[in-house]
Amino acid sequence: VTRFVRAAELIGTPVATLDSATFIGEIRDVLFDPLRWRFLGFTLRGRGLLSPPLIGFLPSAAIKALGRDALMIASDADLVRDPTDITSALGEHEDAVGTEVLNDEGVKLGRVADLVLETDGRKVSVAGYVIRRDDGRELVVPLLPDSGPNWGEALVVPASVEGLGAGGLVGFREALDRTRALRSGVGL
Amino acid sequence: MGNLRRLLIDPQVPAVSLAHVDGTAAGQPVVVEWSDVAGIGPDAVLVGSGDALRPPRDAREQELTAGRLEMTGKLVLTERGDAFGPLEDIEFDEQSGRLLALVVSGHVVPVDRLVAVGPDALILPAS
Repeated sequence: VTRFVRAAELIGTPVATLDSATFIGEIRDVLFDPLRWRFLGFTLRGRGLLSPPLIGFLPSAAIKALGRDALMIASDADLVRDPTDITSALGEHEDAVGTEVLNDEGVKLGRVADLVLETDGRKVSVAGYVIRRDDGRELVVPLLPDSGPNWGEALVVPASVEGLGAGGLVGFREALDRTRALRSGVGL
Repeated sequence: MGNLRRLLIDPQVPAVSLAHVDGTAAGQPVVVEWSDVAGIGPDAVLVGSGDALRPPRDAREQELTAGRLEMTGKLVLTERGDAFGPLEDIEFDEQSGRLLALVVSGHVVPVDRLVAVGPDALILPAS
């Protein structure tokens, strides 16, 4: 059984080690490969008001469990703390939130507000993205695995997304199943 | 001889393995192995002799006596990252020290295995 979660809802989730039951930090940001829409991992920040804003990068392979209350990893050694390695990981990340979304008929739909992640409690993948329209309404657009529209100055999406998306995470699973059945093998 | 202050849980068993005793005449922090506890009465915990009380031997025992391993209030989590809530109390076998249950948010959670006990949380197996 999988569940869907908006990436923004994970920000601040504590990260605990299974070997020492220690909270080493909390999720700062979600990293993904924008070309393949593939989840890469999380950056972490320290906990507390005076803690460092960035303490390291946690690759997806290090995730032992992503629960409703904490992200579990084996040990503190799984966190990539070397500044060079962190910079390298961040270099693959494009800040998606705020990017303008146009359809392929040139109509502005809104801006990217968030990503939707799918998890079975261990593996994490990018399952969709959220478009916030100018009037504040949201459209949650499902994706085919490892594919999606190309990022540029704007995110250009097929006009059909308006008929395939859901109004929120409620109904998103049905929208995702419908999309994948309709578009098998074709990236949205 | 002193007052029982805190308990140290060995997550491998899991069981109470050690107790911190404070208020002793020497004034220094001391501990007693749970196996040296002879009995628990309504008003006192009995040990075989005063020799059972000793100073903390290692860093973990020193953390216990310094209060850094205080368990009450720590978050009880499963290894899947789902929380039960803050720990309120524990239930254990007085003779063996064997941990029987955790009391969390007014509920008694039976325990026969622990994944880890640390400075921030107690982690239970998922099932």
